Amino acid sequence: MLLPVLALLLVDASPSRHEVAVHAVYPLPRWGVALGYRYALRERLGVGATFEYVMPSRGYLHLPGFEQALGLSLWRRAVGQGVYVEPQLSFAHSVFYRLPDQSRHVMRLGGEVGWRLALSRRLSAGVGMGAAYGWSIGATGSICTFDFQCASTRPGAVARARVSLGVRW
Amino acid sequence: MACSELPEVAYEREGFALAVEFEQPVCEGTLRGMEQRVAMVERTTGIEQSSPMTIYWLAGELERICPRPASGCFIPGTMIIAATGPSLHHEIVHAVMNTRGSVPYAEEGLAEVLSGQAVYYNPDFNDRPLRDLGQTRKDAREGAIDYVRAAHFMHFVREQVGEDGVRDLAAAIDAGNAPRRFVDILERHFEMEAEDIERAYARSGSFYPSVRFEEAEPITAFDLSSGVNLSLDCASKFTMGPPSAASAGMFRLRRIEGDERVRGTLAFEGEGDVGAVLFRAVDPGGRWVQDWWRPVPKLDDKRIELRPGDRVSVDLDLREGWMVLARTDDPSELLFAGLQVFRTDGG
Repeated sequence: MLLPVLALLLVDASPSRHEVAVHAVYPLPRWGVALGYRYALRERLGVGATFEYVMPSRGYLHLPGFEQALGLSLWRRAVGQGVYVEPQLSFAHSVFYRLPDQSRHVMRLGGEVGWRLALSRRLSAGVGMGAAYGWSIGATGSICTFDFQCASTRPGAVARARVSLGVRW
Repeated sequence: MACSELPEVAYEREGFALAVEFEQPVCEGTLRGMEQRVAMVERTTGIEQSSPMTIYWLAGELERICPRPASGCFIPGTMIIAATGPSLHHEIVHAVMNTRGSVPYAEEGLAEVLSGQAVYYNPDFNDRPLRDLGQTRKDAREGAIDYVRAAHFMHFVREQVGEDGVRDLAAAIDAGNAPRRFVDILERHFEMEAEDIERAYARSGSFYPSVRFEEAEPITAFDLSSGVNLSLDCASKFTMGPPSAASAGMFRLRRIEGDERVRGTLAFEGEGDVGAVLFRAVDPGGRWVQDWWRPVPKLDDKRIELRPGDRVSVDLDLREGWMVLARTDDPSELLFAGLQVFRTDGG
């Protein structure tokens, strides 16, 4: 497992079109982790998807939440380098893990601005900030009786930030 | 049905959906009792439940829903409760109030009071209920809360502060206020300092009756003389059942009210395997208090058990709080039952 990763990091190759990144995400006032993939459609246009897990509020560990997001990013210099703007569409879910049919879903539209620094030809680090607005969708179950109990599916406006570390190839 | 599977919702009623893990139908009286509990808690606390709750009445293995072994649970952040039977009404109270666990001692005590638990406890000056209000959710999870003491204290509070006070305290629970805010409200309604409230509590009475007392069908001494209908019909609002997820059957509970003595011959008639039993709601010595949701007549050494055709001499002091329970193991058909006292005391 280690060898292919080292090879990816050390071996020079053609311009990168793919990136896998881990993110520390802050859907304020909560936090979570995310795994993302980005593909360079053009030199300055990328498309990406992330899967995000938000730490449940204290006392509500039985109501975990996660979110899938799709984004189309426009980069000032090139995909994965410098400043970017990314409109996003995401779907967030909270679920009572013992009764998975008891869930709440939110669709969000939002955007993010950020900046990426190439640490090496293969490694990058970055930060981003954004905002989104969410609407409840689908049938709601008997969970999340107060919005604070389910941070990942809070309807309405949400501010968010992220710190990222990516591998490109 | 495999025990690991959860049952589907079988009953949709005002304020709740009910899924049961047994074959017997749930009798109308039991369903209405749950509806009444929801309405009564909303009325008493001023809190309306945010959405209808889903109740899982299970035969066992509550860990399928509950976080730890228990006879019942309300899952915070949801409108889901699970119970094997005895604590159903207690959990309904939690669900309606949607408690956040900021003052678990008061929340559990109030849930006991509003679910209809009578209580017998001798308070003294070593009891420090206002200190117990500081118990945390972690304390509650670890079983540190004494439910009898909590219920007794909240019965006392309810008696002293009245409806307005209970509403204010419920609002504090609803808002997730800290115990200090709860004590402030108590001081305002008692018009006393915290220490004086504890002193007053130490001098309070031992027994508080169940709020279900008023909900049970009353029988007067006159009714006893003229004949009391105890017929069982699962479709009737007066008939409850099953007694638990593990035992089939239906029953009807009535309370005998009055303050006189009734002496005479008690006659009981009934169809099929219907039986009846007269028993007291509370032991005068405080050794036991009946659960009005699922009474256990055999706790009472003075109980009078009756089979169809029985004739027994009785001398009942109605001030002792007698109840009569008719029951059968067969919930499938309407069964007639009734009793009458042929008085010899001229009453």
